[in-house]
Formats: sequence, C-alpha cells, structure tokens
Amino acid sequence: MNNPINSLRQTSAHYKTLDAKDRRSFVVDTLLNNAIYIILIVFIVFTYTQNPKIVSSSSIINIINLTAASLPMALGIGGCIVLTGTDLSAGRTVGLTAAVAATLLQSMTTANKFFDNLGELPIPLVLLIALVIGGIVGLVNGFFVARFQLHPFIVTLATQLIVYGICLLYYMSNGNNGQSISGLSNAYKNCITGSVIGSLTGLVIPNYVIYAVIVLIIMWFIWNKTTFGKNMFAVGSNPEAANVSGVNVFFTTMMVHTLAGITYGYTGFIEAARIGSNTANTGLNYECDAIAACVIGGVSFVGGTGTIGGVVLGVFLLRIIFVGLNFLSVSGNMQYIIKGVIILLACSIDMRKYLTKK
Amino acid sequence: MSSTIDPTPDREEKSRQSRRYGLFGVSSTGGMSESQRTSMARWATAFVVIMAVAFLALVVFGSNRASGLTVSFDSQGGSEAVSQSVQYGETIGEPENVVRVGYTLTGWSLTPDGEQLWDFASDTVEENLTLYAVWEAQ
Repeated sequence: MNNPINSLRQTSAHYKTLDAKDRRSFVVDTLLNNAIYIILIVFIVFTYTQNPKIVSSSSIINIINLTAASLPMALGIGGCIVLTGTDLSAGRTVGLTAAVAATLLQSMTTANKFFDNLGELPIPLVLLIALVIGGIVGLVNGFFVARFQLHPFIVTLATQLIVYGICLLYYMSNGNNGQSISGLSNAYKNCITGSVIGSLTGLVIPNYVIYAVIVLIIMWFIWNKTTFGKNMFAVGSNPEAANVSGVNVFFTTMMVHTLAGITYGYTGFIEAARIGSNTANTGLNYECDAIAACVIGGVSFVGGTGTIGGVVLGVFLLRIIFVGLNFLSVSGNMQYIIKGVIILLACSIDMRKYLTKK
Repeated sequence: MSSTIDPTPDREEKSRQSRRYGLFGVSSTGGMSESQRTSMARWATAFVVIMAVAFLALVVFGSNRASGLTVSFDSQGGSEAVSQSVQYGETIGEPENVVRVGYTLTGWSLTPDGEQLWDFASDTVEENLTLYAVWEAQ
C-alpha cells in the first residue's frame, strides 16, 4: 500500500512541473476521475441539511453493518470482474446456501422443523457445508468458462437458473411446501448477530462484522501475496501473455470462480441468521449490488485492474448512498433509477480512465 | 488438402477475439486508432458529467421529506389498517381497531409468518416497510 502523504507530495511535485495548459487538463482529469467521491460528498452534505441524523452513531453503525454483510460477496465477484467476466449466479447461490444453513440449524423446539429428527449440528460443520455448496456452483461456473472459453455472463446465467430451481425444490421438499424457514437455533443466531464488541464496549456491532474483517484479510492476502493472486491479474489483463509466461490460465480462471462461489456460500450462511426468516427470494439481486460496488470501487470491466481497498470503498459508498436515500425518504421506485445512474457513472469514469491512459 | 491453407492461425485469432469481453467491446488488447480513442474519451467525459448531474438532480427532486417513509399494514384477513408516514428513525403508533372474526390480534410482524414481531415502543423505521398482522384463533 502506498503512503497517502507521500503520494500526495509526489502529485504536487508533478503538478509544479506542468505548464498552464497541462495544469488545466490535470485538474479536469482529477475532478472527473474522482467524480464519484465528489458527488458523494455533495450527497452527504445535502442529506445532512435535510436530516442531520445521518451522521449519528446509530446510522454510522448501521452503514458499517450493511457493508460487512455484502462485502465478502463483492470481494468474490471482484475476482471474476478482474478476469473481465462477471457472475450472475451469486444472489441465487446465496439463497440456496442460506436455505441449507437455516434448515440445518433450526432450533430443536421449532414447530414446523424442516428435518424432524435432526439433532443439533455443530455450527462450523454447517458453515463448511455452505462453503462447499457455494464452491461447487463456482467450480461449475469456472469449468465452463475456462474449458470452453464461454462468456461468464451466459454460463452464470444458466447456473443462476439451475441453482434457483434447486433452491425452490428444496423449499418444496420434506413437506415444507415452499414456506419460509425460521425458528433458528439461538446458538446460531448469537454466533452471527450477537455482539461480542457490544458486551465489551457498548457499541452494538454484530459479530458478522468481525467475520467480514477476517474474510477481508484472507482475500487481501490471496489477491496480493499469493502466486494465484498475481496470476489472476495477469490472466485478467492479457490471457495470451499470461499463458506464454507459463501461467495456467485454465486453473486460474476456475479457481477465481470457485473462490467467488465460496464467498457466496459464506454470505448465505451469514444471511440466513441475519434475516432470520428465509424464503426462496433470499439473495435476490444481491449480485447486482455487488457488481455495482466493484465497478464503483474501480475494479475495471476492461480487466486486470482492481484492488481490495477499492472494493471495500465501493461497497461502503453504495451503502452510504442507499442509507442516505432512505434518510431523504426517496421512494423505492426512484431508488432503482438512482442506482442505475450511479452504475453508469462509474462505468463512464472507468472507460474514461482507460481511454485517456497514455 | 492443400498445404497452403492452414486453418490453425485463423482459429487461434478467433479464439483470441472471443476471449476478450471488455466494456463497449473495448479490451485491453483490442486495437483502436488514436482518433477513435480520443472521440470515445470525449463521449466518456460527457457521460461522466451527465450522469453526475443526473444523480444529484434525481436525489434532490426525489427526496421526499414532506411525506416521509411509508409503513403499510397487511391485516392478513382482518379489517383494513391505514398506512402511516414517518421520518427516518421515528417510531410508529400501533394501528387501532383492527379486528378479525374468530381471532385475537397478538401483534404485528415484519414477515408474514409472524416470526419477527415489531415493537411499537422501541423499533424505529429505517425504510419503507409493510407490517403483517399476527392472529391467534380464539
């Protein structure tokens, strides 16, 4: 990571060497490349003038919690986007793994228990099952993308439908007839939504924020410190060059998708407890938010660029905007339009950066 | 079979092209002339400005402080309950006179199955939502 003060000093030194015309284009470039941050500041100031509660501690904690809930998934999808691909199956995979996790960890006293004779399962085992299911979906995605060089869009569209079908069948099975699954065991709920930090300091930050930080550290390590991570960026920016330099493109592509699948499994495991009452619609459209967050965070669809820090920032910015829109009482219908505009804005900035790069 | 026609490079070229997806058909390996690049960059610049302005305009005109967030009530077979408008972070009052023949109202829930009961004294509204009546047979 660069030292921000040093890089600022370098930028100002660079700025002094420019002549008047270059200075002007430098300022314009900087403004345009950071347009999202600028409008975000304007947005927050505007929201504050309308409803000062947005900077209250409860609202900030709320934003952090929501960020933590959707971060792992965005990190997974980020890998796919680095490979110039995408992943549409994410949301439905979350739905399926959430359903599995919820049914396996229902309280013993729940009236309409999904598995009647199931005892209390250890929570780590269920987490592992969720990760494996997510991983398998990712592996299938990765295999088709890598082996047949199909566009991930169409492959993951297909797996999305398949996974949704399986999920619906699962909800219909065992005499459940598509009802929502609730009545989760207290141990499970406490493990995810309980607050260790809250009992120590009084700040009610649920445990899944801590887990999200752990996932973040693991993903940062994978992206930046492993050969696999470096290979991922190499394949993303130029697969032929990567292949010639001895990178196993097939393996890398497959593993990136599998890793993404594992993060969906993890998200499903968390979401099941976070939501409390799961239906087949759990996870619907999650991938859209995750992809949008990645693009806002500077993971380029052109491929080969993106940082973990960028993804975190993207998820965070998107959450601030969503929460802010609720503070402003913007209607739900309007929120969809605004979401779309933000994504187009992020894409335009991304394209502009790419096109003007010397 | 003619020895001068070798299909291999062609196929390789095709697979190379199909391998790159990119945005707007642009890829990091794709060839583009300098003038194409400049004109497209100009379009991108215009779009950045347009989208930024559109975003801010939508937020300003879409913000609806006067009417606030809406909490609607689904009485699930009981008599109709009037929806309420509140500001973010406020509590709501429990709807009155919601009845259903043969049932007693036990509370209002965030989910139709009555799993997450709403506490009117302490729960605050943070988004537009619907509360579902929870009935118990008499």
